Amino acid sequence: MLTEKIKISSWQATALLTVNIISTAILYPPGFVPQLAGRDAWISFALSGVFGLSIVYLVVLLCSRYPGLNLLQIGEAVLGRFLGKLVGFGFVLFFISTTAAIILEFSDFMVTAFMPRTPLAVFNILMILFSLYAVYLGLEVICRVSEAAVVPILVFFLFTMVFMIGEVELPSLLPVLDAGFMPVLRGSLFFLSWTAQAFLLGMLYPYLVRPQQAAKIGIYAIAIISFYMIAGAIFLEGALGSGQVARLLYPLLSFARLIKAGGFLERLEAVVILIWIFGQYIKISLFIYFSAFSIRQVFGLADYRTFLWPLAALIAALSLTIFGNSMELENFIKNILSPFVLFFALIIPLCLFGVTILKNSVGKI
Amino acid sequence: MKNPPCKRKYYTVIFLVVFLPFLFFNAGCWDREELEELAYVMVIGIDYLPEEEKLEVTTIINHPRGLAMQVGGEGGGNDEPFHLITTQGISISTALEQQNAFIARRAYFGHNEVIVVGEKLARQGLHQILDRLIREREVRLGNYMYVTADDVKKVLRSHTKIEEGLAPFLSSQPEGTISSLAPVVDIRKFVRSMLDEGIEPVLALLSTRTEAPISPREAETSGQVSPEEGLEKTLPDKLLVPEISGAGVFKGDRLAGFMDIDETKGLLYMQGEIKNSLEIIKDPLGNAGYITLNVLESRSKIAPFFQDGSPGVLLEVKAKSEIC
Amino acid sequence: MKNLFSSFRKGLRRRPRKNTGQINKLPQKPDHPNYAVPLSLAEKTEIMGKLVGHSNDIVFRRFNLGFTDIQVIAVYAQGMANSHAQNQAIFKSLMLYEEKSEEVGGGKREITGKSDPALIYELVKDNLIITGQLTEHEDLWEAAIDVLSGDTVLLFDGVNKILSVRVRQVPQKNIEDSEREVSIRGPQTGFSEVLETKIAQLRNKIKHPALKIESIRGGVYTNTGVVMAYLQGIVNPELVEEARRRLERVIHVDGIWESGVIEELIEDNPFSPFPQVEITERPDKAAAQLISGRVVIMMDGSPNVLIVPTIFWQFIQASDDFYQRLIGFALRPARVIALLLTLFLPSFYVALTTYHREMIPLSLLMAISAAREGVPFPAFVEAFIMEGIFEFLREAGLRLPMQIGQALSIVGALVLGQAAIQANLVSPAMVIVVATTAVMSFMIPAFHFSVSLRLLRFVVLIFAATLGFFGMLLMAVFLLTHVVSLRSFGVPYLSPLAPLNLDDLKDVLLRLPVWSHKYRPLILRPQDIKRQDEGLKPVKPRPEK
Repeated sequence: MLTEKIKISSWQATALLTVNIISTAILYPPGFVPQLAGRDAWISFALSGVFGLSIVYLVVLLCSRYPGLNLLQIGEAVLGRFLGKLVGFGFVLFFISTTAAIILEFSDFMVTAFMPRTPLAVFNILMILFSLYAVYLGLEVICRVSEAAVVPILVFFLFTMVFMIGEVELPSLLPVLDAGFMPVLRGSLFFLSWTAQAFLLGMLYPYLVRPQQAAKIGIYAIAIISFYMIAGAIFLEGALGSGQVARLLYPLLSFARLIKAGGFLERLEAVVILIWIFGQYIKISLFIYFSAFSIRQVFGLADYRTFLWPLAALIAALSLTIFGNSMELENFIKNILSPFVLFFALIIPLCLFGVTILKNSVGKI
Repeated sequence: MKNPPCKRKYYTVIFLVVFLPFLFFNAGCWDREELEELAYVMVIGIDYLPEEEKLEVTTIINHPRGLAMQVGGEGGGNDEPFHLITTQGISISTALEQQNAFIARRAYFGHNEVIVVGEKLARQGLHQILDRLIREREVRLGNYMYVTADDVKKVLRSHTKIEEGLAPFLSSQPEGTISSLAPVVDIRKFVRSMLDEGIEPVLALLSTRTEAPISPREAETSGQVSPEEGLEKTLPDKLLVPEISGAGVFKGDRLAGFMDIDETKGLLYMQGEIKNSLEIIKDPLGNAGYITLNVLESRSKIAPFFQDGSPGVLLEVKAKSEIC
Repeated sequence: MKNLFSSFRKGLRRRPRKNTGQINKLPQKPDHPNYAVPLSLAEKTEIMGKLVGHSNDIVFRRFNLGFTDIQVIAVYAQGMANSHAQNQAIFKSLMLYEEKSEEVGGGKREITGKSDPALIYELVKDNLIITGQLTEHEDLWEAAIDVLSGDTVLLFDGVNKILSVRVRQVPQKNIEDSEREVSIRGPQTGFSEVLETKIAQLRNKIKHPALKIESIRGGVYTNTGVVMAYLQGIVNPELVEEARRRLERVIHVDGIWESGVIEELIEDNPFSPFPQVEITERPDKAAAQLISGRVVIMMDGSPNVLIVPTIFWQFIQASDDFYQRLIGFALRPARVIALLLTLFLPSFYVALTTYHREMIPLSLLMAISAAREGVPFPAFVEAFIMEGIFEFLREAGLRLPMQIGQALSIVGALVLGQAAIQANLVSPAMVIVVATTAVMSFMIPAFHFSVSLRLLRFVVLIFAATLGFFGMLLMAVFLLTHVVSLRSFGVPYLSPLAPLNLDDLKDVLLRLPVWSHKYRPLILRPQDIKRQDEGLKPVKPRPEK
């Protein structure tokens, strides 16, 4: 049997998607999007939320035609065995390389912002080792962890903003769309590589207890993420100004460093980071799981657990060598990530959907 | 009996579980620093020396043991609660590196609250040092900035009679009465108004004033004279006290000029940032005498207009105040 | 190409899991042969003698029934029988039996030497043994166990049945107050150590036919009575079946001394640091859990009973939560905080002072670092030593008699607290941290749970000292992942939080009033979901107009 008996409730899926996207979205986009869109960054975030919704719609439409199959299996069903395996192999590469990039992103952040003397590899390897435990236990456990973690994560980010509400000057958001619409669009296309990750819904689809709620799951997840990103953009703009935000590498961290609540809770950034690592852990576990899962799917293996160690070693090695330094990583995120993610999140589902429609219409004639 | 293979596997697992943490622990602790290995920098003062083309950095470093002894009341004045270290270098980093020659502990900026900038540096432009400070992992955007026309070293040596050293005066002032005297600006606000269009940065102006000490004992506790030297011998007749005396106005990152207290107050009214200020007005009923108002809160409205070919601004200030 | 894949596939094919079907490998019946009861008295006596082991304390008392020559042998263990009851119920009535002509069922029943042995047996059973606690056996082994448990067994000639009269005198304490689970307002009595009394205590709480008791004998050599109680019609039948299946392991273990032995045999994940079975010695708690749809497992000789399935949150619930109005509401969150502090406070302190000192307010930082000047150890070593010493002190105090225990605590407090600080070996802040942690660990009602937390604390401490908050968080996520993956009798350990069940949450982080609990815990999948009727909420009486 290739499919395991995994059951994911709608709430779990929502939590999983939300934590998954938000945990990396708060790292670079709050600084990069204002570089592109200036003080209209919040419009960019809103727009890419809307784009993300359309991807959710597409994926759900596709998956609802093939109940019980995930995105890779649909690929095989639609394109035939060879092409389908090819697409599946593409997904394998996608998942492995993204996992490596996410891990490096994480450890690079830890080293630059927190522990400069600790070697990068320590963070990489420890994070992979601990994630591996969750991966070994399976998707259901990852779901439950995210379910337990989502509320603290979201509440804490909200707290961070509430503490700073006095420093926010809303007039600095004006004038809106000063530089025209193009910068905003470019910003939103950049952030689309995060909202587009909602396509993972296509991987979770066959395990949902109530598949008819799949669209709702995606909508809620994207709504929550958009809310946080828009609010974050407005707060950062209001408190720091877009010029300053664009110059900071991790604006949200600098923002959290400003917190002073009642002379007792000061400079909560370490706690913010603590909560955020939680999200990172879930994201890394999920991506390693999907890497292993898609390998199993493509090569028709019995259990993904058997090759977890070699896979982990591969990802660890990849995460240490894939980028030479922080600037390369930044460059990758700025310029390459967006088309890379969109190819798998948008183009492939779109093609699959198109072929399905074509097949159906040909069949009717 | 020979061990079955599965049992051998368990031994391996036990071995790994027991010994891997030791390995990890031996190699670990890269960023660990005990509290007593650090020197807590409270104030950074930076100025430019035009002759040597170097930056001069002065830091006030807190000395926990001295502080504890003063608080605890034992020990006496042997341990001063803070040290001043002045070094020079082409950039801040090199200047700070020089400080290692004077203290065995690593200078730690996590609790630094105040940055004082000298006039010469401010006229040169603050862009580079701000870039360095923002990049610094430990310095926060919430550090208060002051500009001074005096010698930075001299300003940093001054302190009030109530607080221990200069740092508490400058870092707790903003929440107190300073808001009616001078603009409260931290790095975040400075950079913001430097980068955003239509607004330029302002910094509170810091200067020193000499004051006669009230008693010899006070001169001793203030740390300006050590007790060994004897109170009678070298009693200073003047005490150096810091003072807020207006504001420095910037254009971009360069200092353009200074404002005195009254001008600064006008500026604060324009920005609507007055929170605690005494104003004296004539009796509106025409009686002789004055009325003192304590302004608790003010709000301003700026309406630009264009009249006779020249632009103007209509300023409307609403203030909530109590008569005292 | 296809061959290549298939060989690759074969290489990676999942090996069969080792522990599947482990329960099936156990012998289905205990490994003693079935000893059928022979007809002749001599044979019976011989086999019986073999079975009970020819020990000196086993008495074979031969006597005649009444004044006839019918021989009866009473077998009992000396000292274990209540001799008064034994004399009254058996010896007096059998030995002094006088032949009376009785009209029974229209015919005369007389006992003479020539009477049918079956008739004699029936008469003795029905009329002569004056007690209610009488069992008939057709297996000599069972009868032998009864003898060894303190009952008196009567052997008759010519019948292949054995009578066992329950006259055992169990060494028993009086029912005492529950000392380890103290309650301010709740019932004070704890469970007795004797199984029968425990069942009676439970029955006393739930006087309803739904209460079912199933008993087995556990331990090959101890033959301890083990009982499983549940409420039929409420509890999920699959759960009962699962519990029954797991309790079979109890039969094969060589001895059962405490409920802990059973606990280790029936839990889901034997290597987890977290206890997966709740223990209690309070009958009210056991009864309440029965009504919630759980299964209670009791054993002879221990006041502790086991409650399955168990979820994480049960360990931070105390009986008083349910009996007093605000305590349950306010104390649950406090206990969650205590739980987190027990686990993380020392490591938080170490991580804070050695890695993330920017989070400490300046004045506090100055105070701490001034106190640390001159302390020879790094903060981690300091914390590890102090925590270790505290654990040793606690453990030492636990095993000592009460009087010496007090001396120990004086030594601990004075020598280790006061003197260590004055000698500048430990900083005062660390002592405060250790003391706070200790207090927090005492706030958790379940002792065996807080023990595992206290052990894990050291692991977290090592990670926090090596990697600061990052290491601490790694351990935290590891523990969370572990806890989330655990199951107790199929019920997810961290439910109803993950997986989420909103209705059950009423009794987890907070306890809402009694009238708001309309359903039994749904995570247990009870047969009868509905707990009580709606509309029980008290209404504020309004004056009539």
